[in-house]
Amino acid sequence: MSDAALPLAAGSRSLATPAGGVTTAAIAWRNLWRNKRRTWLTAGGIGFAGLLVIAINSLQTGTFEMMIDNTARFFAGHVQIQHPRYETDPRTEHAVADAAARLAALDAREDVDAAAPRAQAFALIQGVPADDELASRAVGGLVVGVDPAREFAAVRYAPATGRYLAGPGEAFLGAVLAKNLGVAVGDEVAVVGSAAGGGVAALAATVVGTFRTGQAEFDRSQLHVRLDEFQEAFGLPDQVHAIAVTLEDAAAAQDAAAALADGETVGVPWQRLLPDVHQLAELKYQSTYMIYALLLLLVSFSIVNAFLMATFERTPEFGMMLALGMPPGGIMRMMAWEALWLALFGVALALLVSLPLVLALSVTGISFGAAYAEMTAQYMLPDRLYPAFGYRAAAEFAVAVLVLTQLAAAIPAYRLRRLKVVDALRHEE
Amino acid sequence: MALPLLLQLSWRNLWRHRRRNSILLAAIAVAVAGVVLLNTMLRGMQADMENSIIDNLTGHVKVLRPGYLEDPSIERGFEVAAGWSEALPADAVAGWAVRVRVPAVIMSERETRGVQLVGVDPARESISFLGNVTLSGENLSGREDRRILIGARLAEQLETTVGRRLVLLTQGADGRNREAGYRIAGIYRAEVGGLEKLFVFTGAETLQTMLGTAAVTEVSVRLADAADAKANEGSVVAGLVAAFADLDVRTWRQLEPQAAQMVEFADAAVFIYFVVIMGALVFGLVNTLVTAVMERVRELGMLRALGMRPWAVVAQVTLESALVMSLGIVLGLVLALAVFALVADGIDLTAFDDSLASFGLRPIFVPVLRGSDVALVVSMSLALGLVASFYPARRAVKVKPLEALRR
Repeated sequence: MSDAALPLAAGSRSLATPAGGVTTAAIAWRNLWRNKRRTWLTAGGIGFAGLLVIAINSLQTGTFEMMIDNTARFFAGHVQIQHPRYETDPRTEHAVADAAARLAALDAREDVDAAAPRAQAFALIQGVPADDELASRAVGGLVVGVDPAREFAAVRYAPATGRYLAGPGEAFLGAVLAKNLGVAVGDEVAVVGSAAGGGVAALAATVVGTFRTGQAEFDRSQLHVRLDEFQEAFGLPDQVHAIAVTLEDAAAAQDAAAALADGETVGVPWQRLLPDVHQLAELKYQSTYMIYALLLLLVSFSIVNAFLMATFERTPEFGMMLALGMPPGGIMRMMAWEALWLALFGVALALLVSLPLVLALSVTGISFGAAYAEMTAQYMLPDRLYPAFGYRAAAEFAVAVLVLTQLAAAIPAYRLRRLKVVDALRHEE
Repeated sequence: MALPLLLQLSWRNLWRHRRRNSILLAAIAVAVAGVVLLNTMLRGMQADMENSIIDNLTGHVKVLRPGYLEDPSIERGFEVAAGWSEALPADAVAGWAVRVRVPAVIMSERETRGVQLVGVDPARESISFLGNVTLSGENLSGREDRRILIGARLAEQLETTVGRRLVLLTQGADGRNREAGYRIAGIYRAEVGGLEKLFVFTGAETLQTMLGTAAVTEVSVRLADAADAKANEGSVVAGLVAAFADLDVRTWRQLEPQAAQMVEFADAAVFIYFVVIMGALVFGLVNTLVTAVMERVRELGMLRALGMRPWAVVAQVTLESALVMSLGIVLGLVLALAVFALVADGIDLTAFDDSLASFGLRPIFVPVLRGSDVALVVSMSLALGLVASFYPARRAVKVKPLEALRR
């Protein structure tokens, strides 16, 4: 027991005392270890809750960062430069002018990874199979005019047959669309749609390749042709519907979107381009806050109880301190220090376990088996998940624990103010 | 030593430290209520996901021609013999619908979009989301209605309205393109907004005439609500396999494997929630129980000296843990039911509409309370209470009568 510390504690009104420099803080730390089991259990509870909060958040952060980046790089980009009205009303005539000049300006920016101009319209696509035996078919699809030299969309890296666009008069389309049209590499496709201004847009091209991404939306409906040919057919000289931009840092998308806008265009960040992905991440983050709150509440209960038990056992000691002239405030200050040490110890335990664990897993990744891999592929995730240490959740947890332990310690400590010295000294367990 | 006496001792011990034990009780109650409520959320999501898939023109079981899923065209249709539905066990089925469904291009004067054109018998569509939409204008009158129903979001994109005409273009049974004008009978609003852009409905016979065929592309069956859904599904599948010999009979799990996996994942998540929440509780529980033992060292030593058996000491500590746990569970269940009553009507998640829709979830979220989940949480919590008393009980047994009395 800390018999030696007691008189010092009684005399210590401020942090520093003349008696060998032993402070309230030091005494509080020693007091904490008078009941090792209790301290370990209480700090263990804090550590366990902290480990859970950090682990859950790290897994979510890692998953969503990857999902957002992969989805954005798949087609939409982190930011798109569009006509101000195109986002709500995607019509052919709502196009961005002076595309070439804008692209040159984007290339000069350091935060831009890639910039791909695109013009697109929904149109009727007619297959013209070389083999007359096969029935020719027409299907509605999204015709996208792209610059093959600049395009980053994942479809170009996923050819199922043939190759990507290169020369003039070529078409590259989804494998399911090709099948539905009854065309293969070497066959012709004809596109009929509405040009800007209301005329008929017509375009013919030779299929040079098909792609299979596993995303039904793309494989079933997209046909890519050269941008210049699209612009001519649809009456859009030097105009595009979007310049899709990927950034070095996805987190900077909103700032970049604001910076890239000017009087004639707006920057649309991925949060609006991919609202389902954004909302999914938000929904998950918010719903796990309920679990965090529950964990913190349970930890607070156990801290309150630990302090309640400690003050009960130490009532005679507190009586002694009061009798020797320590003001009640001094005891409360010591309890506050004990709470602080306990919280720091608990948070340290949480970090000690979670940091190496999460950092190791962020390198090796976690595999959830084949069935899970099938599911994750749909959300643009690899079959191994790589957590990213949730620094913000860790910091929020630490702050919450520091505040809660102070409150928890204050409840029993407050009762001590009414403690009568004589009663306290007579107190029996 | 008699059990009633032990029980009485444990009970009284609990009341020696009311404040401490009421905080412990509160912690247990919050943990139990938390796990139960998280489970109701999970089950609500699971039920919602399942219902949405089934409402989304899937049904529980579907009959399709082999190859239709890869190439959904009328060439992959089949003819339905009259009286086929007699093969279905009547009490297992809530309803069925025969549909013609083909991809089509829809055009207004201003815009062009790709859609799924579905020929239906409107009277039979109470089994799908179409039976539950808000309509402006009129519903289709029957299988031979020559008009169409379109979704509100599609109507906005096409800049059209009830009474106007739209052109639909699709491929006929002979492989040639067919084009026809249709007047809009009504515009529907669905709970899952994404469906409004996808489906355009007309009378089944009208669509067959346009396509030049007597074939249909799918038969969809919805099962009756029943405790034994699996058995019903089995008998319906068997009936359909007998009625449609050369065709594929598929359950919704086979048609939507990814969604089915997510629904199954929810079963495992029930245990994950328990471990996470109850794990945080255990530290405080053990802490309090150990303190209760350590405070009574002298007393326990005295009892041992007077001849109390070690097992009786263990029983006393274990009973104390079981009692406090049981009380906490009861309080927790009351708390959970009270909160559940507040949210049972549904929680508004309209802010997350797009994301929910991509999972086929509705924007109003309704939690589901399942008796079996509650029973599972209660029994696992009781077991946890016993496990948590192991260490304190061991401490209590280790008390040596002589040493204890000398303190």
